[in-house]
Amino acid sequence: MKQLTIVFLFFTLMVSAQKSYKEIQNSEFYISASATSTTDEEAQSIARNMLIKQISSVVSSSSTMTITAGNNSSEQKFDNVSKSNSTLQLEGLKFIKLPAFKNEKGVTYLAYISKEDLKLSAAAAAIEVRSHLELMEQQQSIGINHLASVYSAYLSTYLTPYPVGYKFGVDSIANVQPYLEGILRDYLVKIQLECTLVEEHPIYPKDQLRFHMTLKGASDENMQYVFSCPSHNALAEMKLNGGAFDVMMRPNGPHELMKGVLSIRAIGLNGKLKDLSKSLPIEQEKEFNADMSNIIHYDFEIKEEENYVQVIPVTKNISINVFEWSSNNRVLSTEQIAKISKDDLGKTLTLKLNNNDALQRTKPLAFKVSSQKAENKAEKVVSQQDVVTQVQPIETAKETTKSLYEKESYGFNELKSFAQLEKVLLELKESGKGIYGKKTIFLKPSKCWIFMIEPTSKEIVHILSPDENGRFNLKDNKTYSDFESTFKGFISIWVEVY
Amino acid sequence: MGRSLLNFLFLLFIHNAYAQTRCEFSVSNNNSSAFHGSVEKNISAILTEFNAAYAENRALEFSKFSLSESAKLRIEALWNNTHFYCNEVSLSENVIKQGDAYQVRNIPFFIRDSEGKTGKEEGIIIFDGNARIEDVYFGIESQKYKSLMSEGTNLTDFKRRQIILDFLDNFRTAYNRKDLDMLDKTFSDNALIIVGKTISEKKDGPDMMNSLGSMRVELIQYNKQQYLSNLKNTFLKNSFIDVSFDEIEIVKHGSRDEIYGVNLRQSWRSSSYKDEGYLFLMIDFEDESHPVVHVRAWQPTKETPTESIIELGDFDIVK
Repeated sequence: MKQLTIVFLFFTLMVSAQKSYKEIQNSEFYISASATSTTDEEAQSIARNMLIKQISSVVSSSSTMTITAGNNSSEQKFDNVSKSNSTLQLEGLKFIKLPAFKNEKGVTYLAYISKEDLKLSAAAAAIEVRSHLELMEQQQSIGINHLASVYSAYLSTYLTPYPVGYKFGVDSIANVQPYLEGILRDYLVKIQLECTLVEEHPIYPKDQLRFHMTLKGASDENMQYVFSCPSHNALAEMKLNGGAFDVMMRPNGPHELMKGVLSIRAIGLNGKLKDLSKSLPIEQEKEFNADMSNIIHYDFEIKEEENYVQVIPVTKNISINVFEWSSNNRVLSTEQIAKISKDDLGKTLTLKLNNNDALQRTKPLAFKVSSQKAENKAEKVVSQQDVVTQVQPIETAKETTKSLYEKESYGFNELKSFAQLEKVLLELKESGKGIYGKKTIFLKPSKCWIFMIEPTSKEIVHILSPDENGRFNLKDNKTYSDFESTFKGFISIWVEVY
Repeated sequence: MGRSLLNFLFLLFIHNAYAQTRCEFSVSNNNSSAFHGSVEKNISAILTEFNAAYAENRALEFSKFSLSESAKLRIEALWNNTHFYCNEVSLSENVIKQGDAYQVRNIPFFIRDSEGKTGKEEGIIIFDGNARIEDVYFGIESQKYKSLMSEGTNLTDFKRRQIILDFLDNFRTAYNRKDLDMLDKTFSDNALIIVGKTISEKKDGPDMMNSLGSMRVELIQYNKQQYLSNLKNTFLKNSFIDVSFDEIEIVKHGSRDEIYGVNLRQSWRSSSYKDEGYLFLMIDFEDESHPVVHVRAWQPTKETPTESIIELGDFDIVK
C-alpha cells in the first residue's frame, strides 16, 4: 500500500511538472527555450544561450567599424555583433528540468523568464548604463579622465538585450553600445608599446628576462593595460606609467620582435561588471622591438693541441640552434664544440650563431706549429703568393709552442686604444683576475703580457704575450727574443693574468 | 568741422575704452544649442561689466545681462567688499552641470580690496537652465578641484563631492561678501563652533627661561548665536575680508552616508587682522539642496601639531 502511494505521488508530481513546463512554453507571459546535453550544467548553459538568442534577435545586427591608425594607415576592423549569447545577465532567469523521453539520451532543461522580469531587468540595466554615461559627461565637462566611465557604461549595455539610448547634449544615440565600443577601441589603437630596457630578472636571472615597458599614447590613469604574449605564456598588467613584463625566454639575437595582445579595462571594477569584462575584452594585437644587446653575450675559447684546436663557444642569455665555425671563407664545422685541424685554419677563425650576421665573433689566429710543418707551411704560402704578412723567421718557428689562447678570452687582440685597454684592466682588477703596472712591481715579469702604447695617439701598437724565451706579438704575428731593444719610445703596461 | 572732429574722437575714445574692457566668452563644450548661445552672451556681458566698473571705480550696472534678484544682491555685496576684473580678452571654458544648475569655473579674476591690496582668484559663475545668472563666487584652484573630483568613483559620490566643493566655494565667498544671512542658514541651530586660542604659558624657573615661554592651544566652544554675533562685529570693524581655502580633504562618515568631514587650511585676511589655521567642518547632506554645518572647528596652524588636528573621527554622531 505504501509503495503504491509512493508511486502514485511520483506519477502525480511528474504530471504536474509536465503541465508546469508546458504551461510556461505555451504562455504569452513567458519567454522560454530548451536544450539537451550530457550534463545538467551544459544543458542549462545551452538553454540559457538559446533563450538569450531568442530575446536578442532584434539587436543581433552586426556592424563593421574601421579605425585608421596614424601614419601607417593600418586598419583595424571589428565586428560589433551582439555578444549577448554568453554574456547577457538576466535577473529572474529560471530553469526546469524536463522529464526524459523514450530513446532520448542526456538531460533536457527549459530556461525561461517572465516578460515582466525581463522588462524590470532591462529597465534596471538601462538606468545603470545612463548613470555611467552621466558620470562620463560630468567628468568630461570638468576635464578629468572619463574612460573608466565609458568602459563601465559599455559593459553595462550587456546587462540588457535591448538597445540603450542616450541624449548627449542635442544629439541622441539610439544604441550607445557600438558608440562606446568605438571610443574604447579608438583609444586603444593610439597606444604604442615601447620597451625601454631589457635585463635579467632580479630574482630569477637564469630563467627569466624583465622587459621595462612604457605605453606611448595612453593618457587615462584609471585604466589598466594588460599585455598578453601567448607564444611566451607571459602576461603584464600595467598602469599608465607602464610596468615590468617578465618572460621566460632566451633571445635568438640582439633584437627580438615581441608580439601579443594589448587589452584595456577600468581599474576597480567589481561584481557583474568584473565578470563581464573577462568575456568582453577590448583588445588589439600589438608588437614591440626589444633590444637584447644589453644582456646577451657571445664569444669563444680556443684550446690548442698539437695538430688541431678545440673551439668552445662562451655564451650567455642567448638561445642558439646553429653554430658555424669558419675560416678562409670556408665553413669548417657546425658542431657546437668543434675540433678543427690546424691545416684548415687561416689567419682568423669566425663563429657565427643562428645564421645571424649580427651574431659573429672573429678572432685572429697566431698559434705556433712544429718546425717541419712550419717550413712546409711557409713554402706553401710563398708559392701561393697570397701572403699578407711576412713569413715568420725560422728562428721563431723553432721555438716551443705554448698555449697562448687560454688568455684569448680576455680579448686582448681586439684592443686598439688605451681607453679600451684601461676598461679591460679595471675589470680584471675588480674581478680579481689580474693586475697591471710597471715591470718592477712583478716578481715574474716573464708571466706578463705587455701592452705598448704610442704616447701621442694613445694607440696600442704592440701586444706581447708572456714567454720566457721570446714574446709573441699579436699585432704583427712575430716573436721577439729581445723586444726591449727592438721597441723603443713606447709606454709599456705589464699585465699578469691569473 | 571742429565739433564733428571732436565728436568723432570722443566716440573713438569710448569705443577704445569699451574694447579694452570687453571680454568675449565662449563655451568649449558648445553643442550649438540656443542655451549655450545664451550662456556665452550673458557671461560675456557680465565679465565686460565687471571690467568696466573696475576701470571706472564705480558700482555695477545690471541692465546688460540676465540675473536673478538674489544674485544681484549677492554680487553687489561681494563687489562692495572686493572689486575684480577679468584680464582675458577672450575666454573659453566648459559648462558644467550640477543638479538643476550650471556653472562655469576657472575664470581668472584680478582682485583689489578696499585697502588697495591686489591678488588673484578663480571665479565661478552659476546660472540656471535659461542661462540666467544665479551667483558669482570665488572658487577652489582648478587643479585641486579636478584632483578632488577625480576621487569620485561612482555618480553618487561624484555628485556629492561636487556639492561639497560648491558649498565650500559659496561658504568661503560668504565671508568675502560679509553675508551673515547665508552663514546663518548654513550653520545648524545646534551647531558647535570650536575656536582654538593660543595661550602663552610661562614656566617656573630662572628669568631667562621664563622669557622663552611656550605656546599651547586652548579650545573654546561657542554656540551658533555667539559665533555669528562675534562675526557680525568682525564684519563691521573690517572694510574688507578675504578668506581662502587650501589643502582640502573630504572624508565620508563610515556608517552615515549623509555626513561628511572636510578638513582644510584657511587663510583669513581682513583690514585689521590675518591668520592661518586648520579648519574642520562637519557637513550634513541629508537635504542635498541645503547642506548644514554641525561643527566648525578652527585651530591655529603654527601651534597645532598634526596629530591634534580635529577630524571627523573625533565626534560621535547622535541624530
